[in-house]
Amino acid sequence: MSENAGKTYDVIAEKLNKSFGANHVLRDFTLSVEKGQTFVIVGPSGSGKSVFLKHLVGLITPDSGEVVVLSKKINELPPEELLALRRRIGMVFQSSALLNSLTVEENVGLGLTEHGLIGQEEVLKIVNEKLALVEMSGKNQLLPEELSGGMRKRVAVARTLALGPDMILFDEPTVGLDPLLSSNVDELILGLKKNVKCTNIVVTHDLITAFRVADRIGMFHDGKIVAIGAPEEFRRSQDKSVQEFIARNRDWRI
Amino acid sequence: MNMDDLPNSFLVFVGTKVLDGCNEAGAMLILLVQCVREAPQAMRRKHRLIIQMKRVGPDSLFIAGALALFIGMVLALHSGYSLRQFDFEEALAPIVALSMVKEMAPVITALLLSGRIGAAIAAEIGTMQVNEEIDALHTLGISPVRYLAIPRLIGCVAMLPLLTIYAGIVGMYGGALVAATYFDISYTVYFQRAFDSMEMKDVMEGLLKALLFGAIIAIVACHRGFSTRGGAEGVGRAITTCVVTSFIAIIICDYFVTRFMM
Ligand SMILES: Nc1ncnc2c1ncn2[C@@H]1O[C@H](COP(=O)(O)OP(=O)(O)O)[C@@H](O)[C@H]1O
Ligand SMILES: [Mg+2]
Repeated sequence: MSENAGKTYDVIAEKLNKSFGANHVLRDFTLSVEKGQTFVIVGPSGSGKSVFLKHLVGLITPDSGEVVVLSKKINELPPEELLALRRRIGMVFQSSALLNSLTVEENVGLGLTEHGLIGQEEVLKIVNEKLALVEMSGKNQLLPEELSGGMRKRVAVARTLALGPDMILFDEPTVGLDPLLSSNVDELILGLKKNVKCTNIVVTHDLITAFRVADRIGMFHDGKIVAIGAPEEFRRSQDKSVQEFIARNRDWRI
Repeated sequence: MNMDDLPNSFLVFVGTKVLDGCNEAGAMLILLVQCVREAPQAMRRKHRLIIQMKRVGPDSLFIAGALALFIGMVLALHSGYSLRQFDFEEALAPIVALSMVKEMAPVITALLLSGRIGAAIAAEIGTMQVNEEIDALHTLGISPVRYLAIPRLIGCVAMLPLLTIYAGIVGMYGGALVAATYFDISYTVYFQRAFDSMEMKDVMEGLLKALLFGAIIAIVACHRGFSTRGGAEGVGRAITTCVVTSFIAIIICDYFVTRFMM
Protein backbone atom coordinates (compact mmCIF):
# COMPACT_ATOMS: atom_id res chain seq x y z
CA MET A 1 0.00 0.00 0.00
CA SER A 2 2.99 2.30 0.41
CA GLU A 3 3.92 1.72 -3.25
CA ASN A 4 2.81 4.37 -5.66
CA ALA A 5 4.29 4.55 -9.17
CA GLY A 6 7.49 2.92 -7.94
CA LYS A 7 7.93 5.28 -5.01
CA THR A 8 7.99 4.18 -1.42
CA TYR A 9 6.43 6.43 1.15
CA ASP A 10 7.50 6.43 4.79
CA VAL A 11 4.63 8.66 5.82
CA ILE A 12 1.14 8.80 4.41
CA ALA A 13 -1.33 11.00 6.23
CA GLU A 14 -4.88 10.90 4.86
CA LYS A 15 -7.44 13.56 5.74
CA LEU A 16 -6.39 13.94 9.36
CA ASN A 17 -8.67 15.93 11.60
CA LYS A 18 -7.81 16.87 15.14
CA SER A 19 -9.53 19.30 17.49
CA PHE A 20 -8.78 20.29 21.04
CA GLY A 21 -12.17 21.48 22.24
CA ALA A 22 -13.23 24.22 19.84
CA ASN A 23 -9.70 24.55 18.49
CA HIS A 24 -9.71 22.73 15.15
CA VAL A 25 -5.96 22.23 14.61
CA LEU A 26 -5.74 19.76 11.72
CA ARG A 27 -8.34 20.05 8.95
CA ASP A 28 -8.26 17.27 6.37
CA PHE A 29 -4.49 17.29 6.62
CA THR A 30 -3.02 15.18 3.82
CA LEU A 31 0.67 14.57 3.15
CA SER A 32 2.99 11.87 1.81
CA VAL A 33 6.72 11.80 2.43
CA GLU A 34 8.96 9.65 0.27
CA LYS A 35 11.50 7.31 1.75
CA GLY A 36 14.94 8.90 2.14
CA GLN A 37 13.64 12.41 1.65
CA THR A 38 14.19 15.37 3.90
CA PHE A 39 10.81 17.02 4.08
CA VAL A 40 10.45 20.37 5.79
CA ILE A 41 7.12 21.67 7.02
CA VAL A 42 7.07 25.42 7.54
CA GLY A 43 4.33 27.42 9.16
CA PRO A 44 3.71 30.00 11.84
CA SER A 45 3.96 29.10 15.55
CA GLY A 46 0.84 27.69 17.09
CA SER A 47 -0.50 26.43 13.78
CA GLY A 48 -0.32 22.76 14.74
CA LYS A 49 2.99 21.52 13.36
CA SER A 50 3.99 19.79 16.60
CA VAL A 51 0.54 18.27 16.82
CA PHE A 52 1.04 16.73 13.37
CA LEU A 53 4.47 15.33 14.32
CA LYS A 54 3.01 13.75 17.43
CA HIS A 55 0.47 11.95 15.24
CA LEU A 56 3.36 10.22 13.47
CA VAL A 57 4.55 8.51 16.66
CA GLY A 58 1.12 7.83 18.08
CA LEU A 59 1.44 10.34 20.92
CA ILE A 60 -1.78 11.91 19.63
CA THR A 61 -4.55 10.03 17.86
CA PRO A 62 -6.56 11.79 15.15
CA ASP A 63 -10.30 12.37 15.50
CA SER A 64 -10.62 11.06 11.96
CA GLY A 65 -8.33 10.11 9.12
CA GLU A 66 -5.48 7.67 8.84
CA VAL A 67 -1.73 7.76 9.45
CA VAL A 68 0.51 5.16 7.84
CA VAL A 69 4.08 5.30 9.11
CA LEU A 70 6.76 2.95 7.77
CA SER A 71 3.93 0.94 6.19
CA LYS A 72 2.08 0.50 9.48
CA LYS A 73 -1.27 2.02 10.42
CA ILE A 74 -0.04 3.49 13.65
CA ASN A 75 -3.40 3.90 15.35
CA GLU A 76 -4.37 0.28 14.92
CA LEU A 77 -1.23 -1.25 16.43
CA PRO A 78 -1.36 -3.21 19.69
CA PRO A 79 0.79 -1.67 22.47
CA GLU A 80 3.85 -3.88 22.08
CA GLU A 81 3.98 -3.36 18.31
CA LEU A 82 3.54 0.37 18.78
CA LEU A 83 6.58 0.39 21.10
CA ALA A 84 8.52 -1.57 18.47
CA LEU A 85 7.53 0.84 15.69
CA ARG A 86 8.48 3.83 17.81
CA ARG A 87 11.99 2.45 18.16
CA ARG A 88 12.34 2.85 14.40
CA ILE A 89 11.31 6.50 14.53
CA GLY A 90 13.51 9.07 16.20
CA MET A 91 12.01 12.28 17.50
CA VAL A 92 14.04 15.32 18.43
CA PHE A 93 11.81 17.48 20.58
CA GLN A 94 11.70 21.25 20.56
CA SER A 95 12.99 21.25 24.14
CA SER A 96 15.39 18.37 23.39
CA ALA A 97 13.64 16.50 26.24
CA LEU A 98 16.76 14.86 27.65
CA LEU A 99 16.14 13.05 30.92
CA ASN A 100 17.51 15.52 33.43
CA SER A 101 18.53 12.95 36.01
CA LEU A 102 20.70 11.00 33.56
CA THR A 103 24.14 11.81 32.15
CA VAL A 104 24.73 12.41 28.45
CA GLU A 105 25.96 8.84 28.08
CA GLU A 106 22.96 7.37 29.89
CA ASN A 107 20.58 9.49 27.85
CA VAL A 108 22.05 8.40 24.54
CA GLY A 109 22.20 4.76 25.62
CA LEU A 110 18.76 4.77 27.27
CA GLY A 111 16.83 3.10 24.47
CA LEU A 112 19.46 0.43 23.93
CA THR A 113 19.85 -0.32 27.64
CA GLU A 114 16.11 -0.52 28.17
CA HIS A 115 15.45 -2.84 25.28
CA GLY A 116 18.21 -5.01 26.69
CA LEU A 117 19.15 -6.68 23.43
CA ILE A 118 22.88 -5.98 23.69
CA GLY A 119 25.44 -5.84 26.50
CA GLN A 120 26.72 -2.75 28.29
CA GLU A 121 30.04 -2.68 26.42
CA GLU A 122 28.34 -2.70 23.07
CA VAL A 123 25.95 0.02 24.22
CA LEU A 124 28.90 2.18 25.22
CA LYS A 125 30.51 1.61 21.84
CA ILE A 126 27.39 2.76 19.99
CA VAL A 127 26.95 5.71 22.36
CA ASN A 128 30.49 6.94 21.70
CA GLU A 129 30.06 6.43 17.98
CA LYS A 130 26.86 8.51 17.90
CA LEU A 131 28.32 11.20 20.16
CA ALA A 132 31.23 11.49 17.74
CA LEU A 133 28.77 11.84 14.87
CA VAL A 134 27.20 14.90 16.52
CA GLU A 135 30.58 16.24 17.67
CA MET A 136 29.96 15.65 21.35
CA SER A 137 32.75 13.15 22.03
CA GLY A 138 34.08 13.09 25.56
CA LYS A 139 31.03 14.79 27.07
CA ASN A 140 29.75 11.43 28.33
CA GLN A 141 29.56 12.21 32.03
CA LEU A 142 27.97 15.67 31.85
CA LEU A 143 24.41 16.24 32.99
CA PRO A 144 21.89 17.97 30.67
CA GLU A 145 21.85 21.05 32.93
CA GLU A 146 25.56 21.51 32.24
CA LEU A 147 24.98 21.73 28.48
CA SER A 148 24.03 24.68 26.29
CA GLY A 149 20.85 24.56 24.20
CA GLY A 150 22.76 23.63 21.07
CA MET A 151 24.68 20.86 22.82
CA ARG A 152 21.45 19.44 24.23
CA LYS A 153 20.01 19.35 20.76
CA ARG A 154 23.05 17.40 19.59
CA VAL A 155 22.73 14.90 22.41
CA ALA A 156 19.03 14.52 21.62
CA VAL A 157 19.95 13.75 18.01
CA ALA A 158 22.57 11.23 19.17
CA ARG A 159 19.94 9.60 21.37
CA THR A 160 17.61 9.03 18.46
CA LEU A 161 20.49 7.87 16.22
CA ALA A 162 21.51 5.25 18.78
CA LEU A 163 18.47 3.15 17.96
CA GLY A 164 19.29 3.22 14.25
CA PRO A 165 16.01 4.82 13.18
CA ASP A 166 14.50 4.64 9.70
CA MET A 167 13.04 8.09 10.13
CA ILE A 168 13.85 11.12 12.28
CA LEU A 169 11.39 13.85 13.18
CA PHE A 170 12.77 17.24 14.17
CA ASP A 171 10.49 19.66 16.00
CA GLU A 172 11.75 23.24 15.59
CA PRO A 173 15.42 22.22 15.74
CA THR A 174 16.73 25.79 15.66
CA VAL A 175 14.24 27.59 17.85
CA GLY A 176 15.88 29.42 20.75
CA LEU A 177 19.38 29.08 19.28
CA ASP A 178 21.49 32.01 18.15
CA PRO A 179 22.31 32.28 14.40
CA LEU A 180 25.65 30.53 14.73
CA LEU A 181 24.20 27.58 16.62
CA SER A 182 21.29 27.45 14.20
CA SER A 183 23.69 27.06 11.29
CA ASN A 184 25.38 24.38 13.32
CA VAL A 185 22.14 22.47 13.61
CA ASP A 186 21.53 22.90 9.87
CA GLU A 187 24.96 21.39 9.24
CA LEU A 188 24.10 18.57 11.59
CA ILE A 189 20.95 17.72 9.65
CA LEU A 190 22.82 17.99 6.34
CA GLY A 191 25.46 15.66 7.79
CA LEU A 192 22.78 13.16 8.73
CA LYS A 193 21.33 13.33 5.23
CA LYS A 194 24.72 12.43 3.84
CA ASN A 195 25.83 9.83 6.39
CA VAL A 196 22.72 8.21 7.84
CA LYS A 197 20.39 8.42 4.84
CA CYS A 198 17.17 8.02 6.77
CA THR A 199 13.96 9.90 6.10
CA ASN A 200 13.87 13.25 7.89
CA ILE A 201 10.85 15.36 8.65
CA VAL A 202 11.72 18.81 9.93
CA VAL A 203 9.12 21.16 11.33
CA THR A 204 10.19 24.77 11.63
CA HIS A 205 9.26 28.38 11.15
CA ASP A 206 12.86 29.17 10.26
CA LEU A 207 13.06 29.64 6.49
CA ILE A 208 16.84 29.54 6.39
CA THR A 209 16.90 26.06 7.86
CA ALA A 210 14.09 25.09 5.54
CA PHE A 211 15.87 26.19 2.36
CA ARG A 212 19.20 24.76 3.44
CA VAL A 213 18.18 21.25 4.38
CA ALA A 214 14.99 20.47 2.46
CA ASP A 215 14.47 18.20 -0.49
CA ARG A 216 10.86 19.31 -0.42
CA ILE A 217 9.05 21.97 1.55
CA GLY A 218 5.41 22.06 2.53
CA MET A 219 3.53 25.12 3.73
CA PHE A 220 1.31 24.48 6.74
CA HIS A 221 -1.60 26.86 6.83
CA ASP A 222 -5.06 26.64 8.31
CA GLY A 223 -4.70 23.05 9.42
CA LYS A 224 -3.36 21.60 6.20
CA ILE A 225 -0.52 21.67 3.70
CA VAL A 226 -1.48 24.33 1.15
CA ALA A 227 1.62 24.35 -1.04
CA ILE A 228 4.37 21.89 -1.64
CA GLY A 229 7.49 21.69 -3.78
CA ALA A 230 11.26 21.56 -4.05
CA PRO A 231 12.89 24.62 -2.41
CA GLU A 232 13.11 26.69 -5.62
CA GLU A 233 9.59 25.82 -6.67
CA PHE A 234 8.41 26.64 -3.18
CA ARG A 235 10.10 30.03 -3.20
CA ARG A 236 8.33 30.93 -6.45
CA SER A 237 4.97 29.52 -5.35
CA GLN A 238 2.01 31.77 -6.12
CA ASP A 239 0.22 30.64 -2.96
CA LYS A 240 -0.67 33.67 -0.88
CA SER A 241 0.20 32.15 2.49
CA VAL A 242 3.63 31.10 1.17
CA GLN A 243 4.41 34.58 -0.13
CA GLU A 244 3.22 36.15 3.11
CA PHE A 245 5.25 33.72 5.19
CA ILE A 246 8.39 34.31 3.13
CA ALA A 247 7.94 38.07 3.26
CA ARG A 248 7.48 38.04 7.00
CA ASN A 249 10.49 35.83 7.69
CA ARG A 250 12.86 37.23 5.05
CA ASP A 251 15.13 39.11 7.43
CA TRP A 252 15.77 36.23 9.74
CA ARG A 253 19.27 35.27 10.68
CA ILE A 254 21.44 37.49 8.49
CA MET B 1 -29.49 34.60 38.88
CA ASN B 2 -32.97 33.15 39.31
CA MET B 3 -33.64 31.61 42.73
CA ASP B 4 -34.93 28.46 41.07
CA ASP B 5 -31.54 27.97 39.48
CA LEU B 6 -29.73 27.83 42.80
CA PRO B 7 -30.44 24.24 43.82
CA ASN B 8 -29.98 23.29 40.21
CA SER B 9 -26.53 24.79 39.85
CA PHE B 10 -25.57 23.28 43.19
CA LEU B 11 -26.59 19.86 41.90
CA VAL B 12 -24.61 20.46 38.74
CA PHE B 13 -21.60 21.43 40.84
CA VAL B 14 -21.83 18.33 43.04
CA GLY B 15 -22.55 16.11 40.06
CA THR B 16 -19.55 17.38 38.14
CA LYS B 17 -17.30 16.86 41.16
CA VAL B 18 -18.55 13.32 41.68
CA LEU B 19 -18.12 12.47 37.99
CA ASP B 20 -14.61 13.96 37.99
CA GLY B 21 -13.79 11.88 41.05
CA CYS B 22 -15.06 8.71 39.38
CA ASN B 23 -13.04 9.50 36.26
CA GLU B 24 -9.90 10.00 38.31
CA ALA B 25 -10.46 6.83 40.31
CA GLY B 26 -11.02 4.91 37.09
CA ALA B 27 -7.84 6.28 35.54
CA MET B 28 -5.89 5.29 38.65
CA LEU B 29 -7.32 1.79 38.57
CA ILE B 30 -6.26 1.47 34.94
CA LEU B 31 -2.76 2.61 35.89
CA LEU B 32 -2.68 0.03 38.68
CA VAL B 33 -3.77 -2.75 36.32
CA GLN B 34 -1.15 -1.65 33.80
CA CYS B 35 1.52 -1.72 36.53
CA VAL B 36 0.56 -5.22 37.61
CA ARG B 37 0.49 -6.47 34.03
CA GLU B 38 3.87 -5.03 33.11
CA ALA B 39 5.51 -5.78 36.46
CA PRO B 40 7.36 -8.94 35.31
CA GLN B 41 9.32 -7.01 32.67
CA ALA B 42 10.07 -4.17 35.08
CA MET B 43 11.29 -6.56 37.78
CA ARG B 44 14.32 -7.39 35.67
CA ARG B 45 15.85 -3.98 36.38
CA LYS B 46 16.79 -4.67 39.99
CA HIS B 47 18.91 -1.60 40.61
CA ARG B 48 16.01 0.71 39.79
CA LEU B 49 13.79 -1.05 42.32
CA ILE B 50 16.51 -0.80 44.94
CA ILE B 51 16.93 2.94 44.40
CA GLN B 52 13.21 3.46 44.94
CA MET B 53 13.07 1.19 47.98
CA LYS B 54 15.99 2.98 49.57
CA ARG B 55 14.32 6.30 48.98
CA VAL B 56 11.11 5.16 50.67
CA GLY B 57 12.61 3.06 53.46
CA PRO B 58 15.98 3.96 54.95
CA ASP B 59 15.74 7.60 53.99
CA SER B 60 12.51 7.96 55.97
CA LEU B 61 13.72 6.17 59.11
CA PHE B 62 14.66 9.18 61.16
CA ILE B 63 11.55 11.25 60.59
CA ALA B 64 9.17 8.27 60.84
CA GLY B 65 10.88 7.25 64.07
CA ALA B 66 10.64 10.71 65.61
CA LEU B 67 6.98 10.96 64.67
CA ALA B 68 6.11 7.50 66.03
CA LEU B 69 8.01 8.09 69.26
CA PHE B 70 6.07 11.22 70.11
CA ILE B 71 2.73 9.78 69.01
CA GLY B 72 3.36 6.84 71.34
CA MET B 73 4.23 9.21 74.17
CA VAL B 74 1.13 11.33 73.63
CA LEU B 75 -1.09 8.25 73.46
CA ALA B 76 0.38 7.00 76.74
CA LEU B 77 -0.04 10.37 78.45
CA HIS B 78 -3.68 10.75 77.40
CA SER B 79 -4.78 7.23 78.19
CA GLY B 80 -2.62 7.08 81.31
CA TYR B 81 -4.31 10.06 82.96
CA SER B 82 -7.79 8.87 82.00
CA LEU B 83 -7.08 5.36 83.24
CA ARG B 84 -5.65 6.64 86.53
CA GLN B 85 -9.04 8.10 87.39
CA PHE B 86 -10.42 4.57 87.30
CA ASP B 87 -7.34 3.01 88.91
CA PHE B 88 -6.92 0.93 85.82
CA GLU B 89 -3.37 1.75 84.74
CA GLU B 90 -2.59 -1.84 83.78
CA ALA B 91 -4.66 -1.27 80.62
CA LEU B 92 -2.19 1.40 79.50
CA ALA B 93 0.21 -0.92 77.70
CA PRO B 94 -2.45 -2.80 75.70
CA ILE B 95 -4.17 0.43 74.70
CA VAL B 96 -1.00 2.07 73.45
CA ALA B 97 0.26 -1.10 71.78
CA LEU B 98 -2.98 -1.93 69.99
CA SER B 99 -3.68 1.57 68.77
CA MET B 100 -0.09 1.89 67.61
CA VAL B 101 0.00 -1.40 65.73
CA LYS B 102 -3.49 -1.38 64.22
CA GLU B 103 -4.02 2.28 63.56
CA MET B 104 -1.38 4.85 64.36
CA ALA B 105 1.71 3.25 62.88
CA PRO B 106 0.24 2.49 59.43
CA VAL B 107 -1.73 5.73 59.17
CA ILE B 108 0.91 8.19 60.34
CA THR B 109 3.62 6.45 58.32
CA ALA B 110 1.41 6.59 55.24
CA LEU B 111 0.46 10.25 55.75
CA LEU B 112 4.10 11.10 56.33
CA LEU B 113 5.19 9.26 53.20
CA SER B 114 2.48 10.73 51.01
CA GLY B 115 3.89 14.12 51.94
CA ARG B 116 7.49 13.03 51.67
CA ILE B 117 7.56 10.50 48.84
CA GLY B 118 4.20 10.95 47.11
CA ALA B 119 4.75 14.66 46.60
CA ALA B 120 8.30 14.02 45.37
CA ILE B 121 7.10 11.41 42.87
CA ALA B 122 4.36 13.71 41.56
CA ALA B 123 6.86 16.55 41.21
CA GLU B 124 9.41 14.37 39.50
CA ILE B 125 7.05 12.75 36.97
CA GLY B 126 5.10 16.00 36.53
CA THR B 127 8.28 17.87 35.64
CA MET B 128 9.22 15.15 33.20
CA GLN B 129 5.75 15.40 31.69
CA VAL B 130 5.86 19.17 31.12
CA ASN B 131 9.44 18.93 29.78
CA GLU B 132 8.28 16.39 27.18
CA GLU B 133 10.57 13.79 28.77
CA ILE B 134 7.65 11.37 29.05
CA ASP B 135 6.89 11.85 25.35
CA ALA B 136 10.57 11.25 24.67
CA LEU B 137 10.38 7.94 26.54
CA HIS B 138 7.38 6.94 24.41
CA THR B 139 9.24 7.75 21.22
CA LEU B 140 12.24 5.71 22.35
CA GLY B 141 9.85 2.79 22.62
CA ILE B 142 10.09 2.80 26.41
CA SER B 143 6.90 2.43 28.43
CA PRO B 144 6.85 5.17 31.10
CA VAL B 145 4.73 2.89 33.26
CA ARG B 146 7.42 0.26 33.17
CA TYR B 147 10.29 2.72 33.50
CA LEU B 148 8.88 5.11 36.10
CA ALA B 149 5.67 3.93 37.75
CA ILE B 150 6.38 0.28 38.55
CA PRO B 151 9.67 0.82 40.42
CA ARG B 152 7.99 3.51 42.51
CA LEU B 153 4.94 1.35 43.18
CA ILE B 154 7.11 -1.56 44.25
CA GLY B 155 9.27 0.73 46.36
CA CYS B 156 6.24 1.99 48.27
CA VAL B 157 4.41 -1.33 48.57
CA ALA B 158 7.53 -3.15 49.76
CA MET B 159 8.81 -0.55 52.20
CA LEU B 160 5.67 0.79 53.82
CA PRO B 161 4.94 -2.41 55.80
CA LEU B 162 8.55 -2.49 57.03
CA LEU B 163 8.43 1.16 58.03
CA THR B 164 5.11 0.52 59.74
CA ILE B 165 6.57 -2.30 61.84
CA TYR B 166 9.44 -0.03 62.76
CA ALA B 167 7.11 2.85 63.62
CA GLY B 168 4.94 0.51 65.68
CA ILE B 169 7.90 -0.64 67.75
CA VAL B 170 9.24 2.88 68.26
CA GLY B 171 5.75 4.08 69.19
CA MET B 172 5.34 1.38 71.78
CA TYR B 173 8.74 2.29 73.15
CA GLY B 174 7.62 5.92 73.39
CA GLY B 175 4.61 4.69 75.38
CA ALA B 176 6.92 2.69 77.61
CA LEU B 177 9.01 5.78 78.34
CA VAL B 178 5.97 7.71 79.52
CA ALA B 179 4.58 4.70 81.39
CA ALA B 180 7.82 4.30 83.31
CA THR B 181 8.28 8.00 83.99
CA TYR B 182 4.77 9.05 85.03
CA PHE B 183 2.82 5.91 85.84
CA ASP B 184 5.35 3.66 87.57
CA ILE B 185 5.00 0.85 85.07
CA SER B 186 8.34 -0.84 84.43
CA TYR B 187 9.54 -1.66 80.92
CA THR B 188 9.30 -5.41 81.55
CA VAL B 189 5.72 -5.22 82.77
CA TYR B 190 4.76 -2.79 80.00
CA PHE B 191 6.09 -4.91 77.15
CA GLN B 192 4.82 -8.11 78.75
CA ARG B 193 1.28 -6.73 78.89
CA ALA B 194 1.57 -5.16 75.46
CA PHE B 195 2.57 -8.40 73.75
CA ASP B 196 0.10 -10.49 75.77
CA SER B 197 -2.77 -8.37 74.52
CA MET B 198 -1.69 -8.48 70.90
CA GLU B 199 -2.82 -11.16 68.47
CA MET B 200 -1.47 -12.09 65.09
CA LYS B 201 -4.66 -10.70 63.60
CA ASP B 202 -3.89 -7.22 64.94
CA VAL B 203 -0.44 -7.23 63.40
CA MET B 204 -1.84 -8.45 60.09
CA GLU B 205 -4.41 -5.66 60.08
CA GLY B 206 -1.65 -3.08 60.46
CA LEU B 207 0.43 -4.66 57.72
CA LEU B 208 -2.50 -5.00 55.33
CA LYS B 209 -3.21 -1.32 55.78
CA ALA B 210 0.42 -0.43 55.17
CA LEU B 211 0.41 -2.46 51.97
CA LEU B 212 -2.73 -0.80 50.64
CA PHE B 213 -1.56 2.69 51.69
CA GLY B 214 1.74 2.09 49.90
CA ALA B 215 -0.12 1.28 46.69
CA ILE B 216 -2.38 4.31 47.12
CA ILE B 217 0.54 6.69 47.64
CA ALA B 218 2.44 5.46 44.58
CA ILE B 219 -0.52 5.18 42.22
CA VAL B 220 -1.99 8.57 43.13
CA ALA B 221 1.41 10.24 42.79
CA CYS B 222 2.28 8.60 39.47
CA HIS B 223 -1.17 9.33 38.06
CA ARG B 224 -0.99 12.98 39.09
CA GLY B 225 2.49 13.22 37.64
CA PHE B 226 1.51 11.72 34.30
CA SER B 227 -1.56 13.97 34.00
CA THR B 228 0.35 17.18 34.75
CA ARG B 229 -0.28 19.96 32.22
CA GLY B 230 0.79 23.58 32.04
CA GLY B 231 4.40 24.17 32.98
CA ALA B 232 5.81 24.84 36.43
CA GLU B 233 2.43 26.00 37.72
CA GLY B 234 0.93 22.70 36.62
CA VAL B 235 3.61 20.83 38.55
CA GLY B 236 2.70 22.82 41.66
CA ARG B 237 -0.97 21.93 41.23
CA ALA B 238 -0.06 18.28 40.67
CA ILE B 239 1.82 18.15 43.97
CA THR B 240 -1.00 19.75 45.95
CA THR B 241 -3.74 17.56 44.50
CA CYS B 242 -1.53 14.51 44.89
CA VAL B 243 -1.10 15.05 48.63
CA VAL B 244 -4.75 15.97 49.20
CA THR B 245 -6.03 13.02 47.17
CA SER B 246 -3.82 10.47 48.85
CA PHE B 247 -4.66 11.80 52.34
CA ILE B 248 -8.36 11.38 51.63
CA ALA B 249 -7.91 7.99 49.99
CA ILE B 250 -5.76 6.73 52.87
CA ILE B 251 -8.26 7.74 55.54
CA ILE B 252 -11.24 6.30 53.66
CA CYS B 253 -9.37 3.08 52.96
CA ASP B 254 -8.38 2.95 56.64
CA TYR B 255 -12.01 3.03 57.71
CA PHE B 256 -13.06 0.22 55.39
CA VAL B 257 -10.17 -2.05 56.31
CA THR B 258 -10.86 -1.49 60.00
CA ARG B 259 -14.54 -2.21 59.49
CA PHE B 260 -13.78 -5.30 57.44
CA MET B 261 -11.34 -6.68 60.01
CA MET B 262 -13.69 -6.23 62.99
N1 LIG C 1 -2.31 18.39 24.15
C1 LIG C 1 -2.96 19.50 23.77
N2 LIG C 1 -4.14 19.83 24.34
C2 LIG C 1 -4.82 20.93 23.95
N3 LIG C 1 -4.41 21.76 23.00
C3 LIG C 1 -3.26 21.51 22.38
C4 LIG C 1 -2.47 20.36 22.73
N4 LIG C 1 -1.37 20.35 21.95
C5 LIG C 1 -1.46 21.44 21.15
N5 LIG C 1 -2.59 22.13 21.41
C6 LIG C 1 -3.03 23.34 20.69
O1 LIG C 1 -2.91 23.10 19.32
C7 LIG C 1 -2.44 24.27 18.65
C8 LIG C 1 -1.22 23.94 17.83
O2 LIG C 1 -0.12 23.68 18.69
P1 LIG C 1 1.31 23.24 18.17
O3 LIG C 1 1.18 22.05 17.31
O4 LIG C 1 2.17 23.11 19.36
O5 LIG C 1 1.78 24.48 17.28
P2 LIG C 1 3.17 24.66 16.54
O6 LIG C 1 2.83 24.79 15.09
O7 LIG C 1 3.78 25.92 17.06
O8 LIG C 1 4.02 23.48 16.83
C9 LIG C 1 -2.20 25.31 19.72
O9 LIG C 1 -3.28 26.19 19.71
C10 LIG C 1 -2.15 24.52 21.00
O10 LIG C 1 -2.66 25.27 22.06
MG1 LIG D 1 5.68 23.35 18.06
